[in-house]
Amino acid sequence: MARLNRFNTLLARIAEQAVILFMGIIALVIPYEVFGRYVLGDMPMWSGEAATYSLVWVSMMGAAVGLRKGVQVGIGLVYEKLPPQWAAKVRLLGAVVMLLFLSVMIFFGLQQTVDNWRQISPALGIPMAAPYLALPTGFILMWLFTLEQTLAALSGAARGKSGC
Amino acid sequence: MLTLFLLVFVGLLALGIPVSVALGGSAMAYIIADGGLSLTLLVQTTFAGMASFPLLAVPLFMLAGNLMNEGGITGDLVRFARLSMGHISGGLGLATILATAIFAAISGSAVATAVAIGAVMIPAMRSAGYDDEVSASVTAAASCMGPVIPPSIPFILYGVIANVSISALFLAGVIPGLMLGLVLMGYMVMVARRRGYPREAKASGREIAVGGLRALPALLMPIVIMGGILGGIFTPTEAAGIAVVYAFVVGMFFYRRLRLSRLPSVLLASGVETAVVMLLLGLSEPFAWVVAVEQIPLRIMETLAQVSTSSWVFLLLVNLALLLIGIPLETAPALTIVAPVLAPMALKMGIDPVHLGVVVCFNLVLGLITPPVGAVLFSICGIAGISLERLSRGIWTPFLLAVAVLLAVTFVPALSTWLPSVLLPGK
Repeated sequence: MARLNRFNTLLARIAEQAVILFMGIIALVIPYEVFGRYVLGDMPMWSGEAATYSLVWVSMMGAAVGLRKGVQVGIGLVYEKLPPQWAAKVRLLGAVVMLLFLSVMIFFGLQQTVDNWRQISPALGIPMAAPYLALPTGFILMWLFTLEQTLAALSGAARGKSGC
Repeated sequence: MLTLFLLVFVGLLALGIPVSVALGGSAMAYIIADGGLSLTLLVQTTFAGMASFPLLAVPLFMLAGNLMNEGGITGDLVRFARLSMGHISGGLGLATILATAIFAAISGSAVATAVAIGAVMIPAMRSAGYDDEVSASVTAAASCMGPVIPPSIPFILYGVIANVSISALFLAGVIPGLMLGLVLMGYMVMVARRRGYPREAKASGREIAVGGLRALPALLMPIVIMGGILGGIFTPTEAAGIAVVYAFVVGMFFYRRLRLSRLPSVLLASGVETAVVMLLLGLSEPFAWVVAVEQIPLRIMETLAQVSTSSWVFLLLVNLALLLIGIPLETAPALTIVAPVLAPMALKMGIDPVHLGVVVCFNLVLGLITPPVGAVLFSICGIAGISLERLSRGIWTPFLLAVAVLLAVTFVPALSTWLPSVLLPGK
């Protein structure tokens, strides 16, 4: 558990750096595009792709970071109204469902990435696998973070019970 | 199939997992149950939903707003608003609403607006003798102008999902947003008179002019953004990019309070805010696909037609349903669920898509201040240091006033459609 925690902290830190990098690319490329169009009179071909692919990476890495920080909200109303032992079960079921969903997304995300290895993007000329890879990577991080949160909640609940 | 899809969706929401996963999960269940479809579809539609040029406006406007705030604009904005309105009865409250309206034209998010202005103005109103629930609830209600006055994250999302011009939606939000501000100002003056809140000393013309000059970069930003879009110079995405450059330059060289060392954390915060919205949007794509394949909008319309075919009744029902949906759900998740359903229905009924977009977004934004839960309520409680119960009691009158504005916007389409029809003919 402590090992997973340390590993996840490291992964979250790398994901944060990726968010900063790709946000920086978006913030530079779009103004450059406007500059190119109006000042240089020449619209760069690659800017649209570079920015949208960066957005995919920001979305997936940021979503994983946000999940660990607890900003991905669902409707908490239902289980907050339940008696505590039921609430814990509903939460556990929710975690299992999430892990299942994320597993499927990881599998097909990887498949899509591999399938697009030789597909070249029209403007940037990079393999389409590069932007597609953001999806399985992000879902793998979310999987690990969900597992961590669930284990923490379980051990917390167990401790709470013995404490009573 | 349809029943299974809806049951899974509601069941997943009830488990309290993120709404984005509930959206994607129900589509996944549908595809598995169908048997003939490949789950690759799920990944492909999600990717296509995220890799969109118009959506680049989301991270850029988030970043521009955060940069302006980090650069220290808020203090000068609030000072200017106080100087110009402080001497009127309830002047501090009016200044809060004015500062919020200007901040709304910089930022596209209600929570960011509430936090930035509330953190300065609520303590100021407290030391002037305002009751906490009055100052907190007026700030909360006013912050709903944030996503109604352009730029607006909900309008960008709605425009992308419903395929409506984002520029037109931006323009359409101006009058409804200002109406909300004026109505709240009227309420503030009445409360201040009844409770005898003090006025501030009248500022001299010179003081106001100096204050205005300091706040000028903030006052100019909306002109840069909207002017560029209206002149046909930029797309909303490019305007957002220019807004980032503008905010950076102003923060670095005019206010000189923006530190380069702070840039990574500003980028990170804006990126995570963006990602939460983007994951929702991406995973709502397969959901929207199922909604379209199962012809859910058509089915609802057929059921509705047995009651009434009037577009007024339809709009009234939409408002009621959305106010209820807005209680447990925040704006972006609610939008990703309802927009794919409502937009095709409105088109068939002959309702202007821009008008419907404003009604839907305005309505869902009010969900941020409907008790017992709402992101703006939570952040205002934290800032004002009052309990959620107390704020919930105080919010009712401003909330109902906001609903009155919403109804006016619903039943007088010209309030939203007039400005875009004049300034963007042909859209």
